[in-house]
Amino acid sequence: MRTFTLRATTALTLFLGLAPALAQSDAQLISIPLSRPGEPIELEIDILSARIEVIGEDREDALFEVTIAEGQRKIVTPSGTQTLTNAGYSLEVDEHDNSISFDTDWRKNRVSVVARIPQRADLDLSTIENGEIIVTNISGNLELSNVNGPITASGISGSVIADSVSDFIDLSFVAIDDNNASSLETVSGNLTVRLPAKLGAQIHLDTSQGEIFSDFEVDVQTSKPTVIRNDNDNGSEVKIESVIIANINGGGSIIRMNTLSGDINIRKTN
Amino acid sequence: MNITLSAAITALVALVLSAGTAASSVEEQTNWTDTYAVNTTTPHLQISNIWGGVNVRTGKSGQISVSAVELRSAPDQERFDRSFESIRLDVKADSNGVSLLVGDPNERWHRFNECRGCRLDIQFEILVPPGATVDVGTVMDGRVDIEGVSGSVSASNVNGPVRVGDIQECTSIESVNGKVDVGFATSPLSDCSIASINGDITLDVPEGTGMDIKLDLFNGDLSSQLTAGPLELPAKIEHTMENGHAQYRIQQFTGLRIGAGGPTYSISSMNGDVRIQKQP
Repeated sequence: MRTFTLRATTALTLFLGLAPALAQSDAQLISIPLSRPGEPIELEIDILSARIEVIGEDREDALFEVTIAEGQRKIVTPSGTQTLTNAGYSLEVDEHDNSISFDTDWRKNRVSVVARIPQRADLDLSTIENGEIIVTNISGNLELSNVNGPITASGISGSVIADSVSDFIDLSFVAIDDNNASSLETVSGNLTVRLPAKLGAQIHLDTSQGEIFSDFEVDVQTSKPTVIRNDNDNGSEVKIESVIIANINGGGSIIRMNTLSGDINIRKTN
Repeated sequence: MNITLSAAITALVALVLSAGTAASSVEEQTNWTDTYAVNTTTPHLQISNIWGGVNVRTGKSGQISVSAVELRSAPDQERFDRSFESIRLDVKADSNGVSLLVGDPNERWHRFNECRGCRLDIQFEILVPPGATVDVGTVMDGRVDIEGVSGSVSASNVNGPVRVGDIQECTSIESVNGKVDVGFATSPLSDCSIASINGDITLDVPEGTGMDIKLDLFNGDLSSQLTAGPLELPAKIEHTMENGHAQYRIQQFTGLRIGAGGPTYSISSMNGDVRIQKQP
């Protein structure tokens, strides 16, 4: 605990030293010491409108660079309506047992977060409005959700659950998790997975109106519709899903790709 | 303890028991008045109510007068009897002031759950010396209304309005779901915090008042009848370490200077408007 307190104090000193330079449109640096340096972390970022970039590095802390777009607040005065350029905001970063959460107060100000964290990390990133999610060099389980913007991840080793409504998802794997499936789902965007040339995977493909392109030779498997029945207190739900199942390099972990009107791309990397 | 009991306790008992019906309930109403002597010009009044309102007005020097209408109720006789253990009005008074706290005297709040449906509604009517400091609050089914006190005022409500009028200083005025109206007899000189989640906030101040406002306004509109302009405020940065949780919080307020500036007022509202009005 003493070690941790010292690290926290050191980080805060650095942090406060930077604080006077914090104008709203300037980048703010927040250094977070970890409870267990050198071990995997969990990072959760959930912001209404955000560009979220997470970069895995060889480091034993987490460094956040935060920029918040200036909002505006109108005030009606005797001399007319004035505009106050600083509309205010609040953000919190919490670390406990190597689990970090990053929250804002759900104002409409667009937030840009660049998080530099240890490479071994499980991520849960989400944004809704005017957002963008970019992840680089992370090994772990990733949950990425961006309703109205794109999701890009590269240098990924592990599994990814990614969903968007109206934009593309582009994931580039170095390796995939043998035990956990990955899933890419969007309504109107294109889906792209980039896989090492020798990596084996089983791809479940479902696009209603789009095209499917593959750099790999695919071995299409015989499949029949999957029936999923869910009974609960509110009644019963039966879902029938028919997808194309294709093995590449003999098969392997499942990668599910589902889009309504976008194209599906399976690309080969070196 | 220098207490002058008026001994004018009138107990009106209305015991209603309608056993065997779904709407059965037991009620008892008690009206009482006490006067407590104080020997300071700035005595303190503290009230923590749960169900019911609080009205505070100025009266004679040297005494605090409390009138209360208590209505105790429970779904049945067994719980009614048991409610006396978990919900009580605790009165403390000395020469410096009066404290009226509703609840479990030992603050074992979980005991409320042991008496579901039990209530103790109290409507307080209080007269304090003009220089008294006041810290009063309630939770539901009542309004907090304070008028004419020259000492510093703190007032809170959860599901109702707060009105504070003709005061000189405040410390904290807040409501969760009600509107907040604060009126000043003179231009305030010390800092104060005013907040609501879902209600409008209105400040009535004398012409020529100056104050600096740290504004945290989410969805509401902002207006001022006094001259107002932007004020640069530094970001508020906090770091806490508790139970293994390291927390960093950065908060940037909207800065607003009224007139030539003055004490700092922290004003926050999530869904309400903020109005700064000039007294006629």
